[in-house]
Amino acid sequence: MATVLVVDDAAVDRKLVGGLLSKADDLRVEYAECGAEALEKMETVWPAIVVTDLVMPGMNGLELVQQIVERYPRVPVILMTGKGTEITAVQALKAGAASYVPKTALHTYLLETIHDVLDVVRSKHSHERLMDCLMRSEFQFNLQNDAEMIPSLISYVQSLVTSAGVCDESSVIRVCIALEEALRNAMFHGNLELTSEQREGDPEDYQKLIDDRTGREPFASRQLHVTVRIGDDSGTFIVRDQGPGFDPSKLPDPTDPANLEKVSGRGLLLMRTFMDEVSFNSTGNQVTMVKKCPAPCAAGEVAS
Amino acid sequence: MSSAANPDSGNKSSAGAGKFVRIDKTGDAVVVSPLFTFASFTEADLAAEWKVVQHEIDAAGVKHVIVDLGEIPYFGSTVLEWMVQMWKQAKAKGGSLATCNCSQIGREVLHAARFDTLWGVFETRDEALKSVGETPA
Repeated sequence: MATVLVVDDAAVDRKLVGGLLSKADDLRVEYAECGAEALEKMETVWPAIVVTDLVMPGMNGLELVQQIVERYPRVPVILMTGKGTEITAVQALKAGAASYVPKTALHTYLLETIHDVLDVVRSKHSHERLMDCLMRSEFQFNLQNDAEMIPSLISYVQSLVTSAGVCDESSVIRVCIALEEALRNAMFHGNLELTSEQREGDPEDYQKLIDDRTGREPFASRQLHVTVRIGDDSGTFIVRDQGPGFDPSKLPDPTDPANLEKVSGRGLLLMRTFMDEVSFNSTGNQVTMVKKCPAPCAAGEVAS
Repeated sequence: MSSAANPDSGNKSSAGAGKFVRIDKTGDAVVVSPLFTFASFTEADLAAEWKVVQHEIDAAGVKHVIVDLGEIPYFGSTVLEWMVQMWKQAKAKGGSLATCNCSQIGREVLHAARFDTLWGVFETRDEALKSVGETPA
């Protein structure tokens, strides 16, 4: 049975909502008269969902949403909106509230909305638990030299790495920054053999060069091979191009004061900054980057 | 380009916004706000707007560049390249570059490149403008 915490300073409204929820066999109702009391109760009754008014003395509904999102990110909040609270409701939704029901339509929509939100949350939690059990997965992509594929691939990897729990959300961004640098290096410098100097010139001329080489051999038929391997203690990202390769040891150090004014050359630096291991094959046309899971969130450990 | 308002500072003479960058002018400073992250752009998308940015900085009466990073939670070498080019343009005119509203990950990127030793990294746009001698309204 799921506990619903109803937060409203008006006794008549609490009674109304309680009456509506009592029609559902699978819900148990707890009440709080204000945001502060709601937060206190959450420590003891562990609600599956919170239904709150927006306008309350002291901590209002928006502030309550912000507190719940921060302290209990797995507990969804449904807003009860009245006339004149639309802007606050939008702010609360942006802050993380799951849904809203107009007070004038509670009879029609509240129970349905609570069940819908609980279904989504249960499904999400099941998925998270399944991903906690993931031991290994591997994806391979063969990409043409089409820059439009880079944002799509990164977006996919972002959701994959997040879902598999390789690292926390901010670290996923760092992984994606490194991956983006590797992909752009491989596509533009590797397959299309464009130089840093060309990149520093007129941006539209540079784009013309990209367009020209993308349609001309030997560049046109070259592909990017990308492997994403999720293991129980790390994520491995391998990007291989079909260009002639390069010697990474001969790249100038972009942090050397003498090189700070150089426009480009910082891609490898960011890859090394945000990944735990970065290595190249002997030809220099394949980079392997490893991000290790912090011990507590290693995939394969079943969440308690 | 359509005009864009900047709520942070007054004393503006013009402003413009494309899809990937917003430009505001305050006195002799141009404020450039990148709007793109890696999940949202290709080189072709950026080329035309980047030229507009360069043109704005080259315009008469412009000396300093403020890069407002508050619209993007993270960025990579493409934004760093833009910043170096804008810094060189400003330096050539006797001006300077400062950054503001940078996220934690953004600060890590600037630090990795050692750019936090070259440019002021400020919390707000007003602080960045003051650092180049502009008085925000």
